[in-house]
Amino acid sequence: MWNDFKNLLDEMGKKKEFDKKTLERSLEQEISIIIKGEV
Amino acid sequence: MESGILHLENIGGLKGDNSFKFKKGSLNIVEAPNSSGKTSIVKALASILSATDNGNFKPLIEEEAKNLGLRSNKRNPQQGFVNVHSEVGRVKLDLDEKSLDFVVKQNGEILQSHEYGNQDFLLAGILSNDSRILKQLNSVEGDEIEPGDFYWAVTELSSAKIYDDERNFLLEKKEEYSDEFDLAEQKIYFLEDSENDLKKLKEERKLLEKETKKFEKIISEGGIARLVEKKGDLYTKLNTIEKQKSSILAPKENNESQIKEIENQINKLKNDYTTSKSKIKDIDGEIMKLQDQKNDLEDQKNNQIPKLQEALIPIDGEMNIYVTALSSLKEQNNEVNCPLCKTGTISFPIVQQRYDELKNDKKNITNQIKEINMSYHEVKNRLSNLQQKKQTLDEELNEISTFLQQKENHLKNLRSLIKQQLTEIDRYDKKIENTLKSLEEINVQVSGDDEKLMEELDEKQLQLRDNQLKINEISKEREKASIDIGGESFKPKEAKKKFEKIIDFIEKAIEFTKKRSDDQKQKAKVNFNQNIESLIKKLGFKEFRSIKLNDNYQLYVERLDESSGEYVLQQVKTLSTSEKSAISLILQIALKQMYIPDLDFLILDDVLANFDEDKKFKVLDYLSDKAKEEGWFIILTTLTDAEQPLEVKTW
Repeated sequence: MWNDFKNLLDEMGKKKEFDKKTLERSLEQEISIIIKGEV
Repeated sequence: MESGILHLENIGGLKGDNSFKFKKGSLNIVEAPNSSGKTSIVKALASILSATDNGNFKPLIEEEAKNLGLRSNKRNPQQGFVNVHSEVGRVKLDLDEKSLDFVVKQNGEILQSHEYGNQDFLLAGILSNDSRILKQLNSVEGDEIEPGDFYWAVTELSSAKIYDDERNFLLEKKEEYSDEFDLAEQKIYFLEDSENDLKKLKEERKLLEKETKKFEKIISEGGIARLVEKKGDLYTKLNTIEKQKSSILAPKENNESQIKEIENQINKLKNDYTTSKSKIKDIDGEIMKLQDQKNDLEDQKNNQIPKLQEALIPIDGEMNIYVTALSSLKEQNNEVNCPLCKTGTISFPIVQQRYDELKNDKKNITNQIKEINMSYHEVKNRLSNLQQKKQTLDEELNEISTFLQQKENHLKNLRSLIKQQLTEIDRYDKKIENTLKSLEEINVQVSGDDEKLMEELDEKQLQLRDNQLKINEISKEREKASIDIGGESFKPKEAKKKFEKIIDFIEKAIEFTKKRSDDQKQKAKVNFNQNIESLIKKLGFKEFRSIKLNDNYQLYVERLDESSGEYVLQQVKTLSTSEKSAISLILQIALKQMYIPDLDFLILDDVLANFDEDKKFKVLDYLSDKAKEEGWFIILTTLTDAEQPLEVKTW
């Protein structure tokens, strides 16, 4: 899951486009996985 | 050769339709006097090449758009861009491979845009006297930005800005979850504290219930008068118990002194036993030795004595002969025939001598026999004595052992008795303690009258109700202490762990974006410095040896000092206007190469005014070569005093 998030951060960097909504959504997903105790 | 045609419809000072043709791979010079539409061309190109689909820019680009006059304020962002006499302005750029359209209303509302624009063009693709680079180089102390501070050049246009934005977003999120974490901790503390409070309240409740029951019991059993009576009973009971206890104490002490005495006796008996045992051991050793001697002497008696007795027989025989011979010789007093051999003669002295020798031999042998017999009897007697002594000691030892056993049994019995007595004393002590406790309770209770007792009962009942209310309140608060994360409810401890994990995750991401941002800045700095170095050489600006960003992204220039003929390190703010113009041109081209390599336009708006003729030509030649080499449209505007219409020439 960390790799997916890291890739998203890198993808935005490469595209030079900071998309707050996408980042927020993705972080929420990662947090949801942490909350469910899947990590 | 490829070309681009720019159509302007009601843009800036140019009313109606106007078209301008630019050549790709060439330096296009727009030459015109003031107020002839040069600026409108620059603004039109800047607008269409930097257009975004929603018309929004990043903050620094927004600022640059304002610097360049593309936007004035938020309420009317495109003010002055559309001709004042028109409602709508249009910019169209026809390129060989595509056609870009940008339509905007007088109020700034964008009616049509395209997807090929790049907002970074405003910072990286245009150099005018209003551009950030020149404004910055010309800034003075007290201005918002330092002349040499080019941090923005390695962040805003590179991916570093994005990673910084990501990091700032993550820092905000970390802050949010840190607050949640703190809240969870507070709730954990509350639960711990309230657990203690609850425990105390429950203990208090137990005590209150006990006291209430006690008061209720007193009342139900006849009140204070009955208590006084009960107190008297308890004192009587206490006296009886103490007497019973005393009756056991004296025999117990007697038993204890007996135990001491018996213990001493036992110790003495044990010593005697050890001594006798040791003596018997010594006697056993001696007996063994004497037994060996007796055996040896018996051997001698049985074997040596018969041999000695045998040896006496011939001696006795010979002696008898010589006795006879001696008596004959005594009578005759001369020589006689030898009674043994019968052939020779013998005389008295010779016979007497021989007889004496035999007598002596016999005596020796007899003595030996006697000695053996005497030794044997002596050893036998000693052995018999010792065996008798040993028997006596064995008997003594048995007696001691029996006595010891008796004493130990007695001791055991006494100890068991004392144990029973102690148990009994302990039982009486407990009884005394309980009675005293009951007396103490009664002493407290009988301090007032029945009315006071009722008041106290009421008071206790009120306290009980208050206690229950507090318990209910805390229990309710504790139930509410759960924490909601993502729609799920967690106990604070569990939630704290979740928040820890979330914060760890975010911190990892923050670290990642920081590293990426630093890498990007470093990479941008190195590229920027390399581009500048190459440009200085190509432009033949011998007055500069190097123009570089240092580790803090501050621009430093090594400039030729004409008086000394040496290159000196100089801060940007101390450079002359023409030097700043030269540096701005170098920096702008470097930015264009680095950040918008795919956008084939570079606009230089009236930036050669400060160059001398020689340098101006050098720059024009370089730009022409660069346009050709890269396939760029380089559009250079220049002011002329001549009254002439606006025209586009190629260099």
